[in-house]
Amino acid sequence: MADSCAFDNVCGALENATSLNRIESRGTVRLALKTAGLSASSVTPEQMAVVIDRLFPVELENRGVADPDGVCLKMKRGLSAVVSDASAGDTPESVFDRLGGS
Amino acid sequence: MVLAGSLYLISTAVFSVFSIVVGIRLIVLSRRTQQVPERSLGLGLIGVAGLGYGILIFAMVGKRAAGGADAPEFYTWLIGLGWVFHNFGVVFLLDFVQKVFRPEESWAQSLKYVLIIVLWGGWIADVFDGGLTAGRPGVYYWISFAVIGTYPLWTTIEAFRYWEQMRKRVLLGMADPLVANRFLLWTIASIFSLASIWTVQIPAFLGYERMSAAAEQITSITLLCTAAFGIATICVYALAFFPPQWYKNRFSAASAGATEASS
Repeated sequence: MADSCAFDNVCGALENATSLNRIESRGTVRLALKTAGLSASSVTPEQMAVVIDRLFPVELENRGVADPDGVCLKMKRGLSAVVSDASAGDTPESVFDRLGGS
Repeated sequence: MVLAGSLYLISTAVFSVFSIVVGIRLIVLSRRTQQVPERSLGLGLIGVAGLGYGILIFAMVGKRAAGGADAPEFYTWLIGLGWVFHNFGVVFLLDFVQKVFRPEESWAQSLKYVLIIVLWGGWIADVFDGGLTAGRPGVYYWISFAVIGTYPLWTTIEAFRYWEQMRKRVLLGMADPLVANRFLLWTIASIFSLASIWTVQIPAFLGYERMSAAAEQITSITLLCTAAFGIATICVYALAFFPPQWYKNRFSAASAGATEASS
């Protein structure tokens, strides 16, 4: 399955803003997504923004990245240009939400 | 045996009626949302548990009361009809789990079609082999049972895997705890389904003839267990599909607590 635009965008921003190479950047983002219970193929820009806010400062600090907060800000700025993929369709979460009648 | 049989009949009847109610509600929901998953699940529940088990139990009890092997052929036709509804229900439940959890994976689509072919192929071969009237299940019956006895495992694994992901999202405030819990409830319901399917087959695994006197003791135990699993499944379905306010409140309170703690 192809990776989502939000994932590609954040990986690119992380690679540009730090000394991490392409593989390290993508691995870092994948690990953060796994901690958040999300996948690279289906993560939305909104979910990615929460992950950047809540998990990335610590993740980047652990990897010895200088100025983690500044890097997070750059990643979020880049993410604001990404539009949610409306054709992504139903997720298990949205289906199970409907099943309960809510 | 009489008590176990009565409990089994009552629990199966309640389970069938409740499944039809849930199924109709889901089909009505699918007409409103124009979405396929709820329709597949609704038709699956009506097929397997509502009409499938309902007709099968009614036909088997009727056949026994009418003299077992000497009963009119009508009961054999009724048993066949029950199996047709049941198997169509399994097809829809397989469609639900594949479309919801693995919509783009080709292996999942292939697995769904293989399971459907094995289910129907085994069952049709069993019917032509005299399986509807045979005292002991034949090899073709076990081929179709290979699907009947394992398809809830697929649902269990997918729902449990997703529940684990949802728990992590809840901690970050990215998911509704009540919806996350629904994946756990669905996992538990699938385990109960699996347990009841296997438990009711124990006399057949042990080689006893259907409805024979020799099988009575073991059958009474398996019927009691199956009845308990059926009642448990109804309770879990009720919490998943018709969550009462007190149950919803538990998750609202948990959600508020998590938000406070994270802020």
